[in-house]
Amino acid sequence: MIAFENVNKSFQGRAAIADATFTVKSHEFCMFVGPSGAGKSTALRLVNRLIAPDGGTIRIDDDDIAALNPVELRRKLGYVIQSIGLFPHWSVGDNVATVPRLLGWPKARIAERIDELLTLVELDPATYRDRRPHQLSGGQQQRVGLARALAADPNILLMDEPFGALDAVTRDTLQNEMIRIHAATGKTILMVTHDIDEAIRLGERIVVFEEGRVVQNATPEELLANPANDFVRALVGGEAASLRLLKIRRVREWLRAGGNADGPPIGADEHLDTALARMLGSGRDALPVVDKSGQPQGAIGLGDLIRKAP
Amino acid sequence: MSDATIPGMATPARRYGTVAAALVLLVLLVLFMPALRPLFHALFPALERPVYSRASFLTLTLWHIGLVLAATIPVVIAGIAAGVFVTRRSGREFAGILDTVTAIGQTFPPAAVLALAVPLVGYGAQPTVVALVAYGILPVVDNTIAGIRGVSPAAMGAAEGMGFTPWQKLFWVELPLAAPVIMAGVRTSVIINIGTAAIGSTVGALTLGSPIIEGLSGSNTAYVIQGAIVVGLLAIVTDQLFALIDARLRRVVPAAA
Ligand SMILES: Nc1ncnc2c1ncn2[C@@H]1O[C@H](COP(=O)(O)OP(=O)(O)OP(=O)(O)O)[C@@H](O)[C@H]1O
Ligand SMILES: [Mg+2]
Repeated sequence: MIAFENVNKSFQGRAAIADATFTVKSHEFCMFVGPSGAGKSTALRLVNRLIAPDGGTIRIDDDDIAALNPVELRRKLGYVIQSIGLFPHWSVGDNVATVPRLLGWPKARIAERIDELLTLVELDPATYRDRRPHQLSGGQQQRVGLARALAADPNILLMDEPFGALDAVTRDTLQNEMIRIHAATGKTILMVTHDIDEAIRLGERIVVFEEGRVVQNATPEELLANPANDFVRALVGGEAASLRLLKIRRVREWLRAGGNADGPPIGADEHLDTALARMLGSGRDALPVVDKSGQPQGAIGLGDLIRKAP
Repeated sequence: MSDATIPGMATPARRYGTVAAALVLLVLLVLFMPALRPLFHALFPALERPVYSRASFLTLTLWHIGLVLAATIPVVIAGIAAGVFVTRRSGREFAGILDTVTAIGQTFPPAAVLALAVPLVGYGAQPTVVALVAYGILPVVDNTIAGIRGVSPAAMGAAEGMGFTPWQKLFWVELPLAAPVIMAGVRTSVIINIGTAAIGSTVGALTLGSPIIEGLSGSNTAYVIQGAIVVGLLAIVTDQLFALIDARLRRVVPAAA
């Protein structure tokens, strides 16, 4: 659990974080969103004490972090910085091994861990272990940055726009990877983004920053359905928010059990935007729904989308 | 394995070839200068003794190298230490003072430094080393500062955020990444001092400047040429050796750092 209690931080008299209070539960995937300069990176850097707050308290599992040794604290938190920051004079393997080496793990265990992590981020260890960062593409570098942050198996992962400078396809792949890693490891993740779609797709909780203030702290559904103010309403896209909602809700949540429809079925775990796209693409106004084993579950139709949408 | 070739660089084979050729020429001249007597006699028939013989060129060269080394070791240690110090948060305010002091050291003509050092440490090798230290420290300090300031802020930010101690940041990130720039400073310092050391002969040090100075005062052009050629070759060989080190370092620290 990570808790901000009335945290303030100013730079040269300007508030970068203003009276922020919110809690991120253990195992939660939490997104910080907001425009450039809103204080997202500052909030993250307060957690690993790269920045000291002017006032207020930050707790990790009930420990006030101000009382912890900053170097030890940082080694316990995985950190992906906004600019990746791989060490250019080290091999990919050595980069990944950074924190285990700081912690003094035995050599054999480190070597094992490097291969394990490269495999996890889908880089073939034999091919990439001994390469240097400048011999990798941007997307591969971001994967290495992620592997490096995960190396010592931290319970908490701080990620500052980890997929910032990537093309849509690579970004999509890495987002899926994050969802998979989060599901598999149950880590608490704080991720900064200024992409509301990324926030909605990955986040279980979204904290919206505007000029250093937390203007809303909600689940993606709440955020889309009940934006706290005009700023958040504009952020989630005004009327387009209802389209975004279809991206996170699943067919099984809105289907009509016992309903009937013709044609090829859709899986109950698919997102609703996929269902809508398929209706539009195939010229049908309803689709049969099946579960993983192919058992019929009912149907989903255009009317269901309209009735259930907020 | 996967050595990236850097465009515009001489191939290693050609590089080694140049160094080897210059080195062989230097060694031959140092060992067998007296064998060139007929040549210098033909060039300067008026001279009674056309080859410098007060000390062997081997002795002169070894002394010359020894003086430069004796100055380079403290220059490297003190220069890097000073550069590191003023790039720490606690030493930042001393950057200006350090800059002034080292700049004065360099602006002072070496002859003046020698003249001032003699009353303090006497004649011979010691005042020469003092002058070489004063003269050679600026490039090392300057390049250490520039090299450390040039380290990618992203890499430094990552190191800080992942829990490096200040020493680990210095020895694992800053110094390795600054190494090519620091080494370039050492190279400049050494090359300057190979030339400057020759002036040490004016205060009684035995160097390759000895034949030059004796030749100048005694109107013996042959001596001047002999001393100058060997000093020049020594500088070229040394510079080429630094070029090899530089190529090595740049393979470890990519230009994109
Ligand atoms: N070290 C610093 N010194 C001075 N001002 C700073 C510092 N770090 C951040 N700021 C200021 O604090 C404010 C918030 O910065 P922050 O980096 O947290 O924004 P951000 O939300 O991460 O923006 P972006 O999306 O552009 O990364 C900005 O106005 C910024 O200029
Ligand atoms: Mg930021």
